[in-house]
Amino acid sequence: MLCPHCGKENPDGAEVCQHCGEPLPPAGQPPRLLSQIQGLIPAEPVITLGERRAPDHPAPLHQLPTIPPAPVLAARPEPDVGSEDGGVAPRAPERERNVALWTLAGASLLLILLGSIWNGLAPLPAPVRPSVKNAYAFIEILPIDANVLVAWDYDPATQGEMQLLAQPILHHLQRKQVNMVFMSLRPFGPEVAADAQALTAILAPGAALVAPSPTQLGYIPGESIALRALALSPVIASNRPRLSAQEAGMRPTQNIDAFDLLIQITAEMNSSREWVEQVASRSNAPLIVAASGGAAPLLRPYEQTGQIRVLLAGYPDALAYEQLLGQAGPATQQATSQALLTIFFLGVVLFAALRSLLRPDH
Amino acid sequence: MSPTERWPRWLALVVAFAAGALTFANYFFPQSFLNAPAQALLKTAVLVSGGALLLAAFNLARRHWPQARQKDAGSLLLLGGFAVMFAAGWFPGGFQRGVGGWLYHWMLAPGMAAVFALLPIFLAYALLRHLSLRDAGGALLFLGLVAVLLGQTPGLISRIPFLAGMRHDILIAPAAAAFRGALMGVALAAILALFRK
Repeated sequence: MLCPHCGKENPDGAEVCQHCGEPLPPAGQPPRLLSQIQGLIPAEPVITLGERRAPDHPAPLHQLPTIPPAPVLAARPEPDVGSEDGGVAPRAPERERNVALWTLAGASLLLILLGSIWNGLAPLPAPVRPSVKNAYAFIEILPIDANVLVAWDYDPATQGEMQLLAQPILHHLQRKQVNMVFMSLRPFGPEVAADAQALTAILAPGAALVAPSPTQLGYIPGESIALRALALSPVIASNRPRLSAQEAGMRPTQNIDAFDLLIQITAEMNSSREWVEQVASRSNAPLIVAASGGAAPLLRPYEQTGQIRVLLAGYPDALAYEQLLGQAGPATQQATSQALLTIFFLGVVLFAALRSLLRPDH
Repeated sequence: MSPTERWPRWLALVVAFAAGALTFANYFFPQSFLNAPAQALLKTAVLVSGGALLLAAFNLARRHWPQARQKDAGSLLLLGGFAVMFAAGWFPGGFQRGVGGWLYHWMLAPGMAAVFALLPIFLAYALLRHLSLRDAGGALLFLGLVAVLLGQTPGLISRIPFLAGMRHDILIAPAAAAFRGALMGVALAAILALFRK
């Protein structure tokens, strides 16, 4: 067995570790997290109902206990969690579940299609929050040769929501013809940035043509450590220092203050917190965060304390930004679909509530 | 005697302490002579953290290779997918052009987006099955959901602006406060753990 304190191997049944002298857990207990880390990856080994592990499995794992099969469970038919009569007919609730899931998925798809055909809500004016006006103003007052650092910290999974926010901001930056420097803390950040650029080139070809090509610092691994290095010297932090230095006209000795504006586009709260702690705290440039609707509430306190100068959040702010820009983009085009889907899910909530009141067995 | 046992234990402590002190001091004096060694340390830390990738790949192979040899479809698919994506990253152009670009645009991006898009469907289904108004918690959840969904509807926001404000208040007060409370608890626990031993 592995010692949970030093991670070294000990014979079975030993009460104390022969290497560090610390007491060992009783036989039969799975190893603790610490020993898993120190012993370098013994994978999740614990429960294999009635099976012994393959003989070629690594040594520490085959010593772990196996749990014999429970005869009562094996002899009885599989209980059905969803049925009210004790589980004698397990297939019916499964069918009901499949029907419900397919109905929800089908109805959602239908509403999206309907919204794309009839976009009746697009001309309606959306309310513009002061934050959106501030973000717009920060970009609008930038001089033509300003340096703007844009961090693309989201994955393709959240591209559907995040690109709605990213596209009008990118369009605005291109229209102002500022020097953009792109970087990302996520491996696929450069790809989502390229997708956003391609979309902007289709929607606003004029702005994309006159804008200087952005300098690519690429994917910078290391999360908060990378951000700390970025704050000290963006050129050195990049994986392509010579190329980046030439393209951006920056020197390796320049720190994050070389930028006039910092923009982070993210779908999660933690990376923004790291930006606040490692970069914004030592930069004079304002930090604008464009966050997903889910991450924004958790970031709002940073905006209230001024650590994030402006926080843009989710679909409504994307719609408002497009209205300020005066150019319809993907948020405007999807307005009706978004509204129909939200109303549909509202209907599901109301139906579920009503059902819970009417069903006597709940 | 193993190589690690030849080194005195205090050496690791001294190295760790010196690295921490240097980085800490550089935070307060960023434009000093400390800048260059701090940058070197940070680069080294990034390299060391990059070792986690190798560790993860090794763990993946160790876990799934025995199952793949027994023709387990899931493990074969997983290891095959890993090999293809890993190889594609080495082609010229990375994941923006060529083979990698094709995989990104036609496999990875739509696949990830589709899986993520299923989330609201599952949430709606979970609500359908488990939302109950028979207790105070369920009723509060119901009211909150209705307000948030109403506030998120573009057409309704434009006509009834106070709904947007209500959504904002619901998300800010309970959600943000609870999360920040948890963060503070974790931070305090980390400090306590430092002094534990």
